[in-house]
Amino acid sequence: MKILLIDDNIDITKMLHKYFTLKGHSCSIANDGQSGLDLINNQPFDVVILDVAMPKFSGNDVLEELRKRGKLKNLTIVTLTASILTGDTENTLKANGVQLCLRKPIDPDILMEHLQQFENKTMG
Amino acid sequence: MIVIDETILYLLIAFASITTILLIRTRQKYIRQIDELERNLKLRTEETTAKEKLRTEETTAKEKLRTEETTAKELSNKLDSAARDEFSAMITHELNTPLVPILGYCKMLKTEMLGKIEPDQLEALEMIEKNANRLEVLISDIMDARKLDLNRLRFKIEDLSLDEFFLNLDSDYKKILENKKCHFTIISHEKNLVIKTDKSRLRQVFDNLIGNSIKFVPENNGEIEIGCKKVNGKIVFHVKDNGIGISSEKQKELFQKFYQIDTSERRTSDGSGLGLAISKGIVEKLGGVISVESDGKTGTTFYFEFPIYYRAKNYN
Repeated sequence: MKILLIDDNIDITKMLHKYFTLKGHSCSIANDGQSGLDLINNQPFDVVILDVAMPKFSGNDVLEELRKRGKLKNLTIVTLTASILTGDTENTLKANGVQLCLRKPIDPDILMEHLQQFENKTMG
Repeated sequence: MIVIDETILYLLIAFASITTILLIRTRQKYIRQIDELERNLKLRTEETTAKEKLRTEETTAKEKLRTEETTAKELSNKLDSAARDEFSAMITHELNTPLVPILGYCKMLKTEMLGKIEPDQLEALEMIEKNANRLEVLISDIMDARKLDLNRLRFKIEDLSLDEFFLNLDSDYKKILENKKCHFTIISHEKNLVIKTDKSRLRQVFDNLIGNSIKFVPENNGEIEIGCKKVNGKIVFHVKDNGIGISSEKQKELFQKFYQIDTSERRTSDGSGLGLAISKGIVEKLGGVISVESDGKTGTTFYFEFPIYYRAKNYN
């Protein structure tokens, strides 16, 4: 799977990058929304793991841009948040193209299971 | 013909004139007095009216001020709450974020993704992971307890099939208790019962009580039993264990915040001390009652009951 991590926390992206790479997947990192969008423009990805609360260019801004550029169709988007999402916020995110909303701290094995399920759905 | 002396005539005329003049003067005097009285009366009336007008204006002004004060206070409270919410969200965010790489790397090390791990190292990693998990629970519990205090815990009331609920509970705990010699049973006398409640909060209460039972049951032959029964229009749940029990003194303080049975009686030092306080808060906000029964020796049973159809008071 080609995975893109967009999160402003460098430790988190480093850790997840290591994890996904060791599991045999291709993984790119963006530590802000704009760089993430640039990467999406230049390369195909299967999954985007997106941090919701980022300074300057937030997760929602990224989703908005992706929607405008019509990129949402072929992407599986999973959001990560460290605060407590209200039901409303989750519904809004899902309405804006997010397939799955997860809370931090997230067990990377559990995240991997979810991604595997999405991959099986797309292929099967 | 009567002849009247001229003098008498003049005297009469003079007398009449003087009398007339006196009468006119007296009349004028009276008129002046009446005028003055009228003026005074008018003045006093004007004074009173003016005073009343002033008083009314004062009262209106005071009321207006009070209304504005109340509005300002409400606005201030709303801003405070919004600020508190934002603050809570910020704290939760800041505290949860470092746990991601901590738990992530622990997992990777434990599963030997980063190289072979010696048993000593594995033990160390398990302890790191356990304590990081404890932090996660603490953060979550503190937020819940605070929200309960501030009456800001939100409930999502939906129809819940108890059969499904217990099935999930059963499979989850069979997995958790796989390696422990603990027998886990669910006795549900109510098949096909659907209740209105907040599923995840109800599960939170069960997780808390079962978690406590797991800590206190004997190492071998531990027994935990969960049940539910309809009694008089209420649904009564129970969580029962064959642990060391809770003495009546301790029962009194059990549901207080940060109350923990002293460490000598516990094998592990996990738990936030808020679990029972939060459980009580949740049960009560869902319209229920929670209680405990124990002889202090052979085990403990927690009961919590709810009216079968209920709408939580503060549900948003």
